[in-house]
Amino acid sequence: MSSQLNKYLSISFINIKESLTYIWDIIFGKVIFIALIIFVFANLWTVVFASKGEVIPGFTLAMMVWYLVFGEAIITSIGRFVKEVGDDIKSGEIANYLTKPYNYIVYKMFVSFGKGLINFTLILIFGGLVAYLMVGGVEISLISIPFLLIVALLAMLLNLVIASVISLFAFWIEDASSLNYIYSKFTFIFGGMIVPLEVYPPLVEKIASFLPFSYSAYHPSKLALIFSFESFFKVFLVQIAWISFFIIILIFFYKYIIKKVSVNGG
Amino acid sequence: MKKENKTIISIKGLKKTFKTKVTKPGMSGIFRNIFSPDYKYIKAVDNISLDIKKGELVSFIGPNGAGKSTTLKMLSGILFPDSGKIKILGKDPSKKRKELSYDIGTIFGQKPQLWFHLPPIDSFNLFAKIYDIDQTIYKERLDNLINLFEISDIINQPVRKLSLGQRMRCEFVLALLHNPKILFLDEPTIGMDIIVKKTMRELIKKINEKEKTTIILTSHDIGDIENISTRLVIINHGEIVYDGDFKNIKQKYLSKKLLKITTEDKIDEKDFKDLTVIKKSKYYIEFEIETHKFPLKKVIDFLFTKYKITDIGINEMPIEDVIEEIYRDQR
Repeated sequence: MSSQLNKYLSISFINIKESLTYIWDIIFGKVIFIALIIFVFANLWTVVFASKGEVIPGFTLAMMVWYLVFGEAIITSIGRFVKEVGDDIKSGEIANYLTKPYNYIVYKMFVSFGKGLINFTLILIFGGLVAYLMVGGVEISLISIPFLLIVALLAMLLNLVIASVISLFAFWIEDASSLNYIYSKFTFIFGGMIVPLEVYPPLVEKIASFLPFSYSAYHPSKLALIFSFESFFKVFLVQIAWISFFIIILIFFYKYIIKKVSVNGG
Repeated sequence: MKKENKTIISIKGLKKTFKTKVTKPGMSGIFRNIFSPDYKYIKAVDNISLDIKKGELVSFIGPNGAGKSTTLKMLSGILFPDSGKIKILGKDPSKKRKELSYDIGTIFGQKPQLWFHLPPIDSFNLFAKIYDIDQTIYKERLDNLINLFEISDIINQPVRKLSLGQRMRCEFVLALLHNPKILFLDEPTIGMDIIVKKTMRELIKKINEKEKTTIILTSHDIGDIENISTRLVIINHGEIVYDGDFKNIKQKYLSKKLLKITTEDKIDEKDFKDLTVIKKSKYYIEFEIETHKFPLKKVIDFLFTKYKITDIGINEMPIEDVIEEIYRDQR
């Protein structure tokens, strides 16, 4: 088991190393764009707070903007996972992966996880810089940081596991990007990536905060701003539960779908 | 080379059919396609049986779409046969793919496995972990391969800065790190120029001779296996057309060459009266020669002494023509 994990972690590591060789490309191509979104929202929230005062009880202007920084960092860091799986299938590249002693989907997850850690750090630095310059900082206690990191990593993992399940549809229909589009919009809206769920009507808020999407954006971001050990354990346990749930689906689905593979280009 | 007489790959009655949608013509066809698509069934592999012994070098040659790659993909366990049996080292690849991956190395043409932005050594180190190779064994193995493929001065340069030939050497090292008993090379020469193809042939020979690796390679170009003594399996429409020594085929069907010559002087018809002329104009001629009757060197020497040649092309007979002749002879 540990040698297996070691194997997959080496895969993450080599991708971190490769990402670092084109770090400026990531900064210019992705991070600056996200920093720009944060800039736009910071302006938007400044106007809203000036005219309306508080939008959600307990959330200051700075908290609102930093909430978005955390949400963006977690959600967008994993990149275009579903598209990459689709591309492997379309190009026939998958033949290279399926002839190795590892599980293809787990391999891809660790590739994305490695690249994701770099993206996450960069978005946090650059997005955080924009937020700090526009609206100032927020208070985060030092003790909470390791716990927040755990929740952030699990949030990325949950996002990846769901994306993996969706990506398997590509074995069937060649291209699962439409399904991924729907999923990513669900995460934006019902996952509370852009705004906290409290802005929605109470019933929508209740349902959305129960759904798995909110455990990869809303709950972790909110926890970073309003930390308590009680909410940490609650978020942590539910994240583990959802991750396990999707891993079980993934295992069964993968076993079924891998028999349908028709490798292109030959 | 002395070969051990042990069968390590056995294929019996292998069949694979692909189902593809047929596009109906016209606008109405587009709509009909959505609701009631028609399917076409293509027999990619149709009843292929063969045994491969340890240490053999086998080339699957055939036109595009003949079923060579499909066969290879079924052998590596990534495609499932409709019927028939495959045993590799006594195991069924569709059931024991992961287990067999430790014994099989693969190179798929135009699908590189090296990390593009990193030096090859990083990819080597990762593959050592992926294949669970013991560190001491790995170091020794890597040293051997580095010497064999002469790559010691390039393993620390980013792959993107290497030439195609250098990259290919590294791809081979990567595929051989786990000391596979069998190596599958699927269209390894695709998109390569003559010089790199030559390097490739030398590498394949070297691996087969020095490492005693059993190799199966596929190609649509019979010229690819020139100078490699190999067992030749010609596949067409999913069936085996020929299975035997390459030399026999070479003597019988590959002695014909197609020459295309452009000259500055007028071409004299008399010079070509014993040859099959295909096309001729004042300064251009296209003709076939049978090299056992007219050795290529003699013909070319003669042409260069008599004419001022501005362009010359020498082509092999295309595989489609070879297959056609084999069919004709079988009838």
